[in-house]
Amino acid sequence: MIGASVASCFVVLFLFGRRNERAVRQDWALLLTPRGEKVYHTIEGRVRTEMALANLTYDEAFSVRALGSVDEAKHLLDVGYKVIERFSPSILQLLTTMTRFSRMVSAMAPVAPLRPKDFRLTEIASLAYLNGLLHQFLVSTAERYRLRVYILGQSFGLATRALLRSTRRIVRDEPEAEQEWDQIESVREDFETLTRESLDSLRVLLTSLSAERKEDVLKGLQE
Amino acid sequence: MRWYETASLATAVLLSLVALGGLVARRKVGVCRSFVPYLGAVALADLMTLGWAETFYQQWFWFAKELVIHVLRFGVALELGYRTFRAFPSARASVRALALLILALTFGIVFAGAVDLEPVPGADALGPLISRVQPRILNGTIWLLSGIAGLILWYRLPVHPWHKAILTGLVAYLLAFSTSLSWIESQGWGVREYANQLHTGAFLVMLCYWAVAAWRRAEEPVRSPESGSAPAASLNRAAG
Repeated sequence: MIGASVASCFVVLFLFGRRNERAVRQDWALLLTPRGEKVYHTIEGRVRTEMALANLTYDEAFSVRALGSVDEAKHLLDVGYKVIERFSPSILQLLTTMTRFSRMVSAMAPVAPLRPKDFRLTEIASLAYLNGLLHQFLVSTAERYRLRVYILGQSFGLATRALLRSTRRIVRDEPEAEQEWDQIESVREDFETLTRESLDSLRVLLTSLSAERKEDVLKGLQE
Repeated sequence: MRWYETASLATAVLLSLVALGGLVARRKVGVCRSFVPYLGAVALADLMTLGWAETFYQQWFWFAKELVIHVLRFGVALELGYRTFRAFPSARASVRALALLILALTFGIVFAGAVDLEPVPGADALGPLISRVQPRILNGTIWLLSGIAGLILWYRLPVHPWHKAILTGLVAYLLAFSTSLSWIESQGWGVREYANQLHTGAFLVMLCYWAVAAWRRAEEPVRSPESGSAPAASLNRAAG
């Protein structure tokens, strides 16, 4: 009993001791003031810009391919993947942060599960089915929210891996590489859907935070 | 009383007074009201032992003092929980359930440990109470404080620096104290002197930490990240 007690308490003590209190306070100060809405727009703007950049590159790749310049198309495909590769970790980090912030909310606004028919990749559609199924078993809206965000994160991972696989096959001229262009088109659409759903989840989080009893918390932050 | 026991008692009284002085000077008394009676009781008991050793350097006094301090320490833990969680309804419900569970569990294991209080040969009548029952009460306090710290981490709640200092100091010290008492229970009263040194050392380190934390000036109020040079909040950072 003593051993278990000592070990668990040391873990808590270590994590509690090294936590950055100033960052925690700043998060609360930001989320409980009108600045939160501004941050949402900034994040939305950044995410949409990155997505638009990737789309532009892929559109160009498809156009160039249609004109017969295969090497140029492959190069643009590679550039498009690099944009997604850079964008993907930041959206995953955003989703992780959203999960953490969801625990700071007293009452989370209800969320709907992801719809399988919105996705073209079979693996992501399966995850959306799983989201719908598990959604029914969870009781609180906060748990449902975290499940949705978790599924979004996993789906982003799947989409990024599928994109990498297809891009490599095309660049290396592997057999049946032509079919991979259709796959890339599907992944692009799924990426857009996932991004839109992630931003919707962020808005739900900020809406829920705006309903908090701000005065007490803000007073505590000023102490 | 040995010379190092006298020295450690005098140091403990001095550090307690420095910490209490810091709380008054930096206006931190109201941040955790139950802490002042707790530290005051600790300092008073040490002062009585130091000044009137013939009367108070006795096992019965040590045990009675520890009982009073246990109650006051539980009070500090509950106040910390109340003050930290009061503005957060969801987290407050969790900490209430946790506190009730831990208190019930502590009562259960203390009563279970109090069934057989026959002292081992060579030990005083209070021996089993000190080495068998006391660690169980200490464990309950450790669980309560660690539970509060765990919920603060889980809900990512803002916590006052002084509350954080009390929590971390107490948990670390109580772990050492509980370990030293369990050591006596398992190895016999022959190791009492070493166990006492371990516990006293941890106690002095905790008081030093509190004295420094009590005198530390309050941090500047947090500003919204966009209103000044403060670093960006994690949500903002997450978006790249």
